[in-house]
Amino acid sequence: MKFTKVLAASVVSTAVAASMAVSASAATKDDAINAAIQAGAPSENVQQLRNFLEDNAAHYTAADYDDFVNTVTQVGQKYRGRAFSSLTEAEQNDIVSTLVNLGSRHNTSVTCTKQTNGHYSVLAQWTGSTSSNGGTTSSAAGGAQTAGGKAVADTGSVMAEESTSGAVAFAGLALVLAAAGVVVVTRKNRA
Amino acid sequence: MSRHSARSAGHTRHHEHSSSNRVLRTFTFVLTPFLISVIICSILVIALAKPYGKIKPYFDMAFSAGQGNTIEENVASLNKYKDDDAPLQIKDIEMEDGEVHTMIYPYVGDLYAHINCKNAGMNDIPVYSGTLDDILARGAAWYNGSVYIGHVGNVVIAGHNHTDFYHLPQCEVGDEVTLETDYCKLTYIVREKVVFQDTDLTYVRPTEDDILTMYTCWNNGRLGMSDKRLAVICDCVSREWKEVKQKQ
Repeated sequence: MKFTKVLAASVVSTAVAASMAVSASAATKDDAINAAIQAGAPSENVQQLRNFLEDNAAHYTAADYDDFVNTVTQVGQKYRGRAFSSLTEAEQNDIVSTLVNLGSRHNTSVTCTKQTNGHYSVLAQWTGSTSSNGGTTSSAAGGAQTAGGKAVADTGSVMAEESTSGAVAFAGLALVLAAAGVVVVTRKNRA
Repeated sequence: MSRHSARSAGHTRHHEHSSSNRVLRTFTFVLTPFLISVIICSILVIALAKPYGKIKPYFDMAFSAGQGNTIEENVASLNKYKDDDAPLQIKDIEMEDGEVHTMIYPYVGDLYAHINCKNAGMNDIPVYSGTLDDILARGAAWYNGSVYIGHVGNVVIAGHNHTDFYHLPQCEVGDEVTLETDYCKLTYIVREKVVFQDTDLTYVRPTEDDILTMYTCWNNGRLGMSDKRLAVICDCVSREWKEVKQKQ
């Protein structure tokens, strides 16, 4: 349950950080952060947003922040109070695509990847260009990224279940074949 | 004559029958021990699979020791999350105390810092940026849902209990911990150790306190995955800023 909220919040926060756009007012970085908080994003995901904007805030205009605020607010109003796990797959995809599109409108790549443990890793990266002091335009390598994932990571060694399961299956098959072979050989000898 | 022929035919059939029996017995003599060996080995594999799973983390730890900085440096240059020619993200930032300092922001997957806690035997533990599974496999990992190193707040670092944070449980209250990046060095004192459930986000959330939270899986002193985590919480006692020479 919680990871789905983390996912939703993480995706929301990341995409919020990733895409800012226009609305009636001239929003700022702080408005974007407040929008994520108002949308119900957990504090750790808001921190991810702060981290992303700390290095990338200058890439976005007030209009960008406005779009970001509006989009996040709409997402928050649409799904607020509902755990991400309770959403249908279509609704989950709706959230993800909304945020990915939000990022794409503002030179920001947002990638959401579902992990085998059910959590999503969210990677946001600014992909725009910058201008040097001399005025020539050069491509930036993307700026610091942010990646969301499981808040409390899995930090123990996997108990080798995956690696031994194949060996166990093979051993089981070999056992069956060998036993069958013994039976056949015995019957042949009796005959 | 017919009796002789019949007797000869009988001898021939007996000879042929003896030959085939000899072949079959030879085959059986060779094959049966092999089949029995296969049966015994299969039973051993099936019986030992589960115990092996439990001790595998110890094998991994024993045979992965001493890989040292070479691999760390090579891994750092193989960060799949950024281009090899990606520029350093250097920026002057106003901190919480109003002073302006230079920070180097890490890309996801970058080698970000090193941790030392000499009393616990933690020496130059590499800390990478981001807590994705493949990053955690390389070293300890800074959780990017916590503040950047250098900022006032809760810096959260995770590590596997069978590798980089194997000695974490040996940290005791009062031990000194240093966390050093290319732009600053922070010194902490261990304040408390807490065991918490992996669904409890209390200790990884941002705080106003200037602390460091290091955590790893806690399996009652044994290695392996667990739904519990051991957190070592440390108070910041000093912060030193370094001169960052290379700027964009």
